[in-house]
Amino acid sequence: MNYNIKDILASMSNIDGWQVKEERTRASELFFIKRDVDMNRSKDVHHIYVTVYKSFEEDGKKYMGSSKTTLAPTMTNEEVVQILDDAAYASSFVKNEYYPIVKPTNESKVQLKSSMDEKPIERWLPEMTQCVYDCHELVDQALNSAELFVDEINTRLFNSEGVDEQYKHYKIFLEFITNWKGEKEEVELYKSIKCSDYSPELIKTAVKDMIDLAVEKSKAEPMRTLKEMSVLLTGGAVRQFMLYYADKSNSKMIYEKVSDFEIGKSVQGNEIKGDRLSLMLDPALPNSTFAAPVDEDGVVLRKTDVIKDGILNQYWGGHRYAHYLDIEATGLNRNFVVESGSKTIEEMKADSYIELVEFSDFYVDSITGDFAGEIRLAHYYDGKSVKPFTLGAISGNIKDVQEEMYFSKEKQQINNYHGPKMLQFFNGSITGN
Amino acid sequence: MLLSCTLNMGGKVMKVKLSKYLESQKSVLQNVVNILSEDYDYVSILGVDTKGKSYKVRKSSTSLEDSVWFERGYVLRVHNGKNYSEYSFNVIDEDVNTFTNKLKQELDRNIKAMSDISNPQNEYPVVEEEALMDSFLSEIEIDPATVSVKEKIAKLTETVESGLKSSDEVIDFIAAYEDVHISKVFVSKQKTLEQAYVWSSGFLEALARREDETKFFYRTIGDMKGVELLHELCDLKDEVIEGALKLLSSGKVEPGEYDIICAPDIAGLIAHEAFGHGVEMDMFVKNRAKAIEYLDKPVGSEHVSMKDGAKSAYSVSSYLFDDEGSLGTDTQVIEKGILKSGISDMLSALKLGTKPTGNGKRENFERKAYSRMTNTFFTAGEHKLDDMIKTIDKGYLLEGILSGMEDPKNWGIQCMVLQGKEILGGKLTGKVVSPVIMTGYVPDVLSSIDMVSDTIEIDGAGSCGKGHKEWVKTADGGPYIKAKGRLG
Repeated sequence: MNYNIKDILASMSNIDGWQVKEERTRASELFFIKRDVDMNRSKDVHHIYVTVYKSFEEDGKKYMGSSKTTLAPTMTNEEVVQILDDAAYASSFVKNEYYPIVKPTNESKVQLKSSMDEKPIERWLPEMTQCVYDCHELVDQALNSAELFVDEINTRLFNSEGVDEQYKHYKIFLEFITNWKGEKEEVELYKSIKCSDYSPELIKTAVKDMIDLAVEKSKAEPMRTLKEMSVLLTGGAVRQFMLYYADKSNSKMIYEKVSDFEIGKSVQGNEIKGDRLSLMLDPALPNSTFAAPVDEDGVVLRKTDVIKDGILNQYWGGHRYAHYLDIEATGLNRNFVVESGSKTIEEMKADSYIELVEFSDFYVDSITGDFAGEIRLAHYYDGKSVKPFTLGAISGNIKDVQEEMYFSKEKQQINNYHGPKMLQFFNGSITGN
Repeated sequence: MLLSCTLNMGGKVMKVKLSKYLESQKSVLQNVVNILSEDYDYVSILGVDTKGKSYKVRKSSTSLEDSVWFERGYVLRVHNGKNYSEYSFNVIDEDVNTFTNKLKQELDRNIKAMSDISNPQNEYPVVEEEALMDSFLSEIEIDPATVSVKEKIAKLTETVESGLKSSDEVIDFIAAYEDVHISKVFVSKQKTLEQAYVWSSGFLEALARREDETKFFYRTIGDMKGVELLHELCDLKDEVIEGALKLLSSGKVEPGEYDIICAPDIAGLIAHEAFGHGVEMDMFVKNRAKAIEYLDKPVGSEHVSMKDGAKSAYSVSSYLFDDEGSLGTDTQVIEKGILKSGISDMLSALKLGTKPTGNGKRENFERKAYSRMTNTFFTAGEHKLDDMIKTIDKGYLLEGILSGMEDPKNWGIQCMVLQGKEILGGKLTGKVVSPVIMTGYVPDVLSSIDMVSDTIEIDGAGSCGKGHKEWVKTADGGPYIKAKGRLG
């Protein structure tokens, strides 16, 4: 680099503080069509993200302005000085209520461990590829294409108050498409998984399950309209549903009055008949790409009970909004752990149900609670037999179903979510094809 | 009016300039290409330098940061003897020979890792290029660099404060704006291309609450413009407030099939999700697109014509060349209901034996190029909106995009729509439903289109993912279209 960012920032008299996040990322990527390698890519990049802060007073009230900017390693010293001067000037027009910059603490921090440290990232590609292609006897017919990305990211976060943290983590991303031609037209399904450690079983199970589901989808009939059903959400839709409660408990949404959640009060309505939600943050959640010792501002992350038995225990979020609300900052910890519920999946399936297995895209609006999705595969049990269906859509509002919903005893992990595998609610309506 | 001195609409237009940094690196890139061409049959480098600021003001906070589209770096592509390998980087050493050696080592290390995998490798021919040197610099009225941060934030703040005062039920009002200056150079043995353009975009959003009911309404705007767009954005304030308050009284749609009129934004969403993704020709290569079976066959009514291309319209994707150095074109995707052509990146075209259409786009220099949309829209028809409404006995006028999802293989469509305005007896009743999910089978929806309005609107505020990643800037739109749709 042609410049020393710390020296430049330290010499600036027109700011009251600063923060730098440096990321060096090395990545290896493979792209497959059927079993064939179609292309390989690699990268080695260095990014520098700088925030400058300027405090000021107007009419006796104290404000904290800030401006975020990105520096490229190819910039000259003069360019960087100019960009940071511009950012300093701009920050004085960003009129936010005052908050302090994060200070260092002696709290113990999460240590990140990954088996990926054992060898260079590109050397992991052969065995990961083998996991994808050796997991199912139908893989050559049913796996349409796949993309595999392995990133090694070295992060350093330091600020003008003395915070200085360094850590390394990995991001593994696998995206694949399965398809199957039955008696009707060929069908396909999409799946992606993210993790931070080499997890052969995770990869094999994901590919195997999606091949089986594609075969099943090829036999599915168009959905018909169903009313007042027991609805079973599975997989990523459960995660999306649970994240509604995480979002509504976030200190930023509370401060902005977008969320009406209150500490000590129920988050699931007034008459909870079903399972009560318990949601926790865990910065060390194994195999999550969000595991980190500190958040983006340098706040040390620790385990936090956010919702306990359906009652909001604590708001969570970064130091700025914690300061505004005069509460302890939990940090922007994005690993969500939800406790199991009272029913097994078998118990949830005891009576007639519609199990929504795959969506085009399950949509949940954190502000309104509205949810909806087009169904790509569902299992309908009418009390006699289970049949696969496709097409159709579900829509509703979480506030209308949350008082009587059940979470499965069985759990799943989807990157930064570890919690129930299935969620049941009642009186759901499906719009048929 | 804070920006009245600078927002002199109809004033002089000015040409956008190429980044000085990229200008200074062109000869270095040429040298790298020449040296590496001794070892590889095809070598190209795309260099990008994109700058921009993103401003957001709401009731309780203001934020100012670089645009998410910020990037400065390079992607090197070589033919490795069988297929293509790429290496993305953003540091260039001063000594070009040493640096080029490093690039070669990185490429070869990863090519070796690929060859250690037991899977077979796809083979691609070497790109055949004709000599070409060209340049494109867009024109804008107000250069973002000439309007201060103070003025831009003040304009947004004024809009937010005015919005918040409009009703006690408005609990928050958000005004967001960004302007982005893109510079790119593409160098290969045969081609030297450069381009610089500016686009701006933004949105206004009002949050309204009545008792336990919270609703939001928003409008977006995005175009190949400078700061002049900020003025247009802020003029949408009253419409946004009115929309949010109206939604507080909205009901739910009774699930079923209805006569619908899609506003230009929803028409654009359908064009984008239903057919845009379905004719991305990398999907043809993977046998993931049903469209390949329908080339030169009917896929919609005779009222349906659709285009995509950097040259099809002038909006945020109107570039000279794509991220693989292919020139942008004007592709007639559907003509009077007949599917005519797909859109392709370079490698898909090589595989399929077709000509690239200039649709090879990357999220940024660190990502792979795929076949992607540019400016995608249904073309205009001959009807008036009022006449279209009069023909509907019971139905909805759908407006406002929440999300959309493609299904190129099975032609399912999912559009999450912000609101449906009720039509009864040929008139808008003033009642609205929200939100609305529209699902269906693409040919059924397109075949049911029986009226198309005589003007089109294209909005470049959004961005588009492929699957759930690879976000690129796109513009979508069209006329009002009348069709049948399944709503829920």
